[in-house]
Amino acid sequence: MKQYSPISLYIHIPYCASKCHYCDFVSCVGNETEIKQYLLLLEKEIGMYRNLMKNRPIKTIFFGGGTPSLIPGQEMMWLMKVIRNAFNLMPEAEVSVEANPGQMNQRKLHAYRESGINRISFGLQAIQDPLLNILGRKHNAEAFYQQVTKARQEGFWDINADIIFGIPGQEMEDWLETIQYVTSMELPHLSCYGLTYEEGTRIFEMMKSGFIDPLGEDLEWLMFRKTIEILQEKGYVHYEISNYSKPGYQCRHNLTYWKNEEYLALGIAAHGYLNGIRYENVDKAKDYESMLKQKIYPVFTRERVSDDDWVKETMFLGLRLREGISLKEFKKKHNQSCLHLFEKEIQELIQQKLVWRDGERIKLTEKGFDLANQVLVCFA
Amino acid sequence: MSANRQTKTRNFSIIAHIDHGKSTLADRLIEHTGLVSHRDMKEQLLDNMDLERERGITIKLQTIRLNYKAKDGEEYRLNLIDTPGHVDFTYEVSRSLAACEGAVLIVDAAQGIEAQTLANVYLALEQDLEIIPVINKIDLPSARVEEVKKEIEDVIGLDTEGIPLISAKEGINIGDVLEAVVQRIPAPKGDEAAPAKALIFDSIYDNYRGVIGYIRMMDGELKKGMHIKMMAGKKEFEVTEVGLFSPGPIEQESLKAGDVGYVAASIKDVRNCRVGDTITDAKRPTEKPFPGYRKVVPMVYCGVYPAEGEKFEDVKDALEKLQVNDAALVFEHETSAALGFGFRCGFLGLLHMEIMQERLEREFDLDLVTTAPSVIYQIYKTDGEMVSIQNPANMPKPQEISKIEEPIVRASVMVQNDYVGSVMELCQERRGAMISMDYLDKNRVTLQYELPLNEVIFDFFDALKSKTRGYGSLDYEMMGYRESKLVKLDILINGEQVDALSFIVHESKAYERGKQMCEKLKDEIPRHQFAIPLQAAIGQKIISRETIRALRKDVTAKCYGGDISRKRKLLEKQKEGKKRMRQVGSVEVPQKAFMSVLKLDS
Repeated sequence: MKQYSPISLYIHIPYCASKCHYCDFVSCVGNETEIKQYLLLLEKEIGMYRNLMKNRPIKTIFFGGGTPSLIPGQEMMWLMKVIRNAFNLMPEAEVSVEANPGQMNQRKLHAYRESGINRISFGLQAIQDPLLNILGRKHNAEAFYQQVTKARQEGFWDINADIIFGIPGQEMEDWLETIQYVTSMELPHLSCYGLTYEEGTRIFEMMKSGFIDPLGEDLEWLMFRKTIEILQEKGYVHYEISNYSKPGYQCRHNLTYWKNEEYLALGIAAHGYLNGIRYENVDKAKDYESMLKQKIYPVFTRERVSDDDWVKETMFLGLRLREGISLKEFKKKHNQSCLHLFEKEIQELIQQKLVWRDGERIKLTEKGFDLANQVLVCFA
Repeated sequence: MSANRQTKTRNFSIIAHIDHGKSTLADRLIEHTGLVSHRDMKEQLLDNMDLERERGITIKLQTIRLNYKAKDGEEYRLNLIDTPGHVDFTYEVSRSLAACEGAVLIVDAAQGIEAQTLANVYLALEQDLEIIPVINKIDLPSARVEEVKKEIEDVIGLDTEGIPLISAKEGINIGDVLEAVVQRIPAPKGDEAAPAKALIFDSIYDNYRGVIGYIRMMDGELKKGMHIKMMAGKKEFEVTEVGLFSPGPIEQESLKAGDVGYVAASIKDVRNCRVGDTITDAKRPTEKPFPGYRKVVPMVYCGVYPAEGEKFEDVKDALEKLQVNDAALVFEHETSAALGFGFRCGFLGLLHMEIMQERLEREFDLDLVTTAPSVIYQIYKTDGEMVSIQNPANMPKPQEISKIEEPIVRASVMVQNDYVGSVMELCQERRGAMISMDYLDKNRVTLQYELPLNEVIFDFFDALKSKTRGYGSLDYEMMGYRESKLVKLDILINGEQVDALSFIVHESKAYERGKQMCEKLKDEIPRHQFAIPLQAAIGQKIISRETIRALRKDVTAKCYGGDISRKRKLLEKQKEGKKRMRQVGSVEVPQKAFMSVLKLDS
């Protein structure tokens, strides 16, 4: 039964035109030749998983990065063909690509659409140039507007914009303006992230040395609350802590993560989850290349998820969703009762009014969304 | 040989202010005499604990036998007895000096004489030692050899004609030191035929041989099989081994008058082999033990608790093991409502306390919470009873107290002229009363103050260092007890009194300290889902208050792509942190909060 369940596919493109100040993903600045060579290596890696994936139809693909939109149109068509030839891609599969506004011309958009990609996720982040500068982003709102228009002309309807609140210097008005801007374009999906300062990033260093000040919890909280309120008014469903969509436009790929389902991951530093094992690919281009040339899986670490961790993951991932965790589905998946297993935690959280029981579901309350970390940590 | 035995022996110590290069010189002497080659030399051989090397101070004494062929062509046996370099260990220093006939006094060529230089010189003079001044670090650009010479002459009154001018670090003129030791330090003059008489100047515990006493033979002879008696401790033992260190222990047939070495006698408890005690022949005892023996008494106490409750037994075990090696450490069981089961430990001073804490954590891999250090207060109750308390939690109710006395020390601070004002200000702030102020020369001043010990243990040394840009040096000795207006300050978190945070403070400072405590705790305690009041109180009276605001937003936006393992590990780490917090009512207080209040910025 299990081996026939559909799976998601993540492909990591570790190249960027430049590195953003808040980014802590594995990426480096690369040119077109390097990218083409990288795609040839990806082809090898895809080939190595062909047999393992024989009975696992692919329901979603996500090209993440880095900046996948650096891949030229022809190469994307070729890569998608390689994927189709190797794996069983479901006809209704969601195929997303992350893109930087300003890197997509009409021809590329056309080729991408032709290749089978049907969803674009733009990293807009903000529409005010000073804020974009702080983030180290090189585009502007105008470029974004034009590309969305062009993308639509090429038949892309499923479009997301990532926007960020809590940027140093950002005022509530800036944030409302950004929301207003993206909603007026009728984008069906929005990811609204609060800025985090991850160690090792440029922005973390800027904060540590005092060049920028975090906005402060009160304002960030207000921004978070305002986002939920306004987007709901405008017909978006707040379906996950940071994600909003028009009905029917939830990101199915990301739902795979939150529902703790498996996904194949390919490319440098990609993280996958296959046959009960979480693995991480090597993060050095040199290792990736030499391993693939020797026909070795370019995996750096493998970890079989213990039963104990497995149930916890289901909890802390699932609770991120507004729909929460279905007790029935939990039971079906884990063959154990969620309420029984986490009796103490859930009782305490209910008492603290951080989660609530809605029929056969356990969900975050509004306060639970504000303080989600306090909830999730109980399931670690 | 026998005739030459003592005439060709020199027993000496090296004394210095901290950082003036004591251990480095010891290393060079060892190298120079060829005992250990440069290649095999661990940096500072005598400081053999990692901690000692890191902190640059000697904690446990060491002793070593060096064979030196002097310029007169004769072979000499030099016994170098290392001394601990800190005011907490004054007694140990004085006992090691008592085992010598002379001392090499190192003075830093750049810094000149410091408080501990003088304190050590006085100790050496008390023992009637021949003192050889040596000016070290002459290679430094800031070296001011002539001025320092003059300081030595004027302040200490020692002749500096032809004294060794060296750089221990660079190995310059090390031979001069050895020559001076041979020529100037008198040979021991013990009576080999007299009853055995040896001074214990240190002891360590060895897993196989029991307690090893480091001894100086004054008269007579000790050998295997002899029955010995500890004259102060009154216990008797049979000698299982005698020997010397060169550098490792080397068994000898016997130790005779004038020798420095070790004795093992299946002694199980280090408290039966106390520093300062006299060993003699049980059958033919010497008449008079060495004068000045005293049992060391702790001056500073603090609570030591395992960070995780279940490790109580491990802490007990570790303390017992440390005590085996350190007779100055005392501890007894205590219980705190906030911290659970733990121990009240007594130390010689702040440094001793810090070192013990670090050793517990490092050598025994323990995670500890320590409470604010306290001195011993003498409380006279209205019913006439006097109680000594070293734990603020045991303080009687205010209405039962007729008066409180606190320990007072005589502190000497040596400092550059420029900083005299700041030091006086600091001492005044700390309730000090000036005893004297003496100019060593036109630049340097010794200030003597009477200071309450509880002010000294509270961050005084750090404050002194910062007010004098690191130049001020401190030494202190106990003077006695004096009545004082002291109060017990309690801290309440969310309305609950936290016993581990209570401390005793002078009335005039209670308000300020209470305020600082609340402010500090406000930074240390993470925000909760509810607001948390923090209060400082004397009895029922609240004297300060802060509030930790309720947490409004704590949500991480993204889920790290597909890197679920990372997310899980992050959550696990957070949970681990939460688990290690102490529950005070419904408030989770990090361990760190209990310790951070030990050092408040003044």
